[in-house]
Amino acid sequence: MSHFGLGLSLFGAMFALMVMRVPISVAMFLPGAIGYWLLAGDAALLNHVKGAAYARFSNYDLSVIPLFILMGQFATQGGLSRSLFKFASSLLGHLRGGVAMAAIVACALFGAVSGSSVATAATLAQVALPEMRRLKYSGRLSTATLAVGGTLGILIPPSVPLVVYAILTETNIAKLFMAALLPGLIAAVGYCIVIAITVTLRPDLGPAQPRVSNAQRLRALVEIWPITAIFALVFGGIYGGFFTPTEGAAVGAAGTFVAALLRRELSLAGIGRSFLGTAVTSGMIFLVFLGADMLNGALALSQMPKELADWVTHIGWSPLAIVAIVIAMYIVMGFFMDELATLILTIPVIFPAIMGLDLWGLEYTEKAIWFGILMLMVVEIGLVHPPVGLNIFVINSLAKDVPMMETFKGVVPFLVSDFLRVILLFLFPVVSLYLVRLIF
Amino acid sequence: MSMSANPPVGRSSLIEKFAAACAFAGGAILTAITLMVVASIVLRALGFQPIQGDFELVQVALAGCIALMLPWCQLQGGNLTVDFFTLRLRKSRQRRLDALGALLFALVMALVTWRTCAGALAARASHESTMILGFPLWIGYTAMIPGLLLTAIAALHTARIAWRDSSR
Repeated sequence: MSHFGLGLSLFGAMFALMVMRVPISVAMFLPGAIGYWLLAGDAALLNHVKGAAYARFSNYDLSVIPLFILMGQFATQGGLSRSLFKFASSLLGHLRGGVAMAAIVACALFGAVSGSSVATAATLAQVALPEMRRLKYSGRLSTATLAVGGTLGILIPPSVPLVVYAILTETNIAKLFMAALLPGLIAAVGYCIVIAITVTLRPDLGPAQPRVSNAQRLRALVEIWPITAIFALVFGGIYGGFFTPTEGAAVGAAGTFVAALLRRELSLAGIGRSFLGTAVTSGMIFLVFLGADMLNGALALSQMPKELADWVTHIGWSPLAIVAIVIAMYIVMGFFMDELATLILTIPVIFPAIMGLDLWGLEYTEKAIWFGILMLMVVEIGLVHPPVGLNIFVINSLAKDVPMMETFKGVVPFLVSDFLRVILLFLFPVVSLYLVRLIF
Repeated sequence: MSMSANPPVGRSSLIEKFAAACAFAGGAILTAITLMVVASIVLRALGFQPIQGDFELVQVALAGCIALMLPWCQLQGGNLTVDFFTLRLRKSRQRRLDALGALLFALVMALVTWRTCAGALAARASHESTMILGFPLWIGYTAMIPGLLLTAIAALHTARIAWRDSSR
C-alpha cells in the first residue's frame, strides 16, 4: 500500500471508531499508533510515545487554555454575568425585544472574560432566562437568543478555539484575537438585528418594558467596571507588548478571582466548582491533543498532508472555490463533532493545503489569520444547528418548559445572520484584517 | 458530538473521591502558576528582576496539573465521543459500545503511563534539564504519572459501569 493510501486508511479507521462511540482521543490515537508502527517500527513507536504526553502537557503556549478556562469559571461562579445583564437590560429593555438584545449584549461582554461558548450560554441563561420568561418573552425567542448568544463567548476574544488554532498553525495569538474582535462585534449586532426583525413581525414575542432612569443606568454601569477593567488590563497588556498571552491569561484569572471575591459571591465551594469545571474542559482538550498528536505523527511519516497540499495546489480549481468547499466540509462536520476536536483533527492536514493557495493576494500571515477567523465562525455554527448543537441542549436543559423543537426553530433566523457573516468575511478579508493592520 | 452521557458514577465511590482530589490539586497547581506569573509581572513592572526562568516552571507545573485533571474529566464524561451515529441504537447497545470505548481508552492510558515512566527513567539517566534553571526533567515526567495512572483506572471503572448498565 502506498504511504498516501495508508494515510487515508488511518482516517478511515478513525472515523469507523468514532462512529462506534469510541472517545475521539482514542479514535485518533489507536490508528495513529498502528500507522506509526507500520511506517517506522515498534521501537520508534515506543520511543515516540515516551515523550508524547510530556511534550504536549508541558507546552508553554498551551498553558493559555487552562488559564483562560479558569478565568471564565471564576467569572461564572462569581456571578459576574448578573451585573452585565442588569446593565444591558437597563439600556435596552424599553425596546421591543430589548431584553433579548440585552442578553446578547451581556453575552458579548461576558465573552470578554470567557473563552468558551457553552459556558457563556449556560451562565447567562441562569440569569437572563428566568427574567425573559417573567417578562412574557416567548420561549422560542428566549432559548434561541441564549443559545446563539453563547457563541459570542468564543467569537469575542479570549477564545479557546482560536488559541488552539494559533498553536496548531504557529500563528500569533494576539493578532488572531485582534482579528476576531470586529467580526465578533458584527455577530452581536447581527443577532440584535435578527431580534429586532423578529419582534417587528411578531410583537407579542418580546414585549417592551418600561424605560429605566439614567441614574439607574449609571449605577448599573458602575457595577460592571471590574469586567471592563480586566478586559482592558489583559488585552492592553498583550497589545502593549507588556506581556505574553499566557501572562495575560494569568492576570485575567487572578483579576477575575479578585473581582468575584469583591462581589462576595465566590464561596469556597464556588472555587472548588471552578477547579472541577476547569479540569473537565482542560482535560477534554488535552486528551484530544494527545490523540491528534499520535495521528499527526503517523500522517507526517506517511507524507499524506504534504501530498494532499501538493495535489490541492495543482488541482487547477479556483483557490476561493477550494476554501468554499472546505467551509462546507466544516459545516457538515459540525453536525456531529465538537468544534475543538474538529479543529485539532483537521487543521494539521487542511492548513498546509490552504496556505499553498493564492487567496486574495494575501501574504502568509494575513492568510493564516483570515482563514483562522473564518474557521472560528464556521465551527461556531455547529454549536447551534441541529441535530447536535451543544448550546441548544445546554439551554434547553435549563428551560424545561420550552420544547427542544421550539429552540431549533427559533435559532433558524440567527443562522441566516451567521451565514451572511461567513460570506462577508470570506469575500472581504479586510473585515478581520483591518484592526490587525492598524495595530501591528 | 457532545459529552458522552455517562451519569455521575456511583455515589461518590472511592475512585470519584480520588479523582476529585486530584482535580482540586490540579486547580491548586494552576492557581500557583497564576500567582507566580502575576508575581513575576509585578516584579518586572516595578523594575526588579522578574522570576528567573518562570516559563520553565510553568511548563513543568503544567504537565503535572493537566495529568491530575484527566481522571475527573474521564469520570465526568469529558472525554468527548461522537454519539450522532448511534442515537437510534437501543440504550443497552449504546452502553455496550461505551464500555468498549472506555476499555480502549484505559489501554491507551496504560500505554501512555508506562511510556511516561520509561521517559522519566531515561530523562533521569541522561540528566536532561531545562535550559535556564537547570530543572531536572525527570521530575516533570514523574509528576504526570499519578494522574495518568489514575486516568487509566478511572477508564476501567467507567467501562465497568457502562457494561453493568448495558445488561440491565
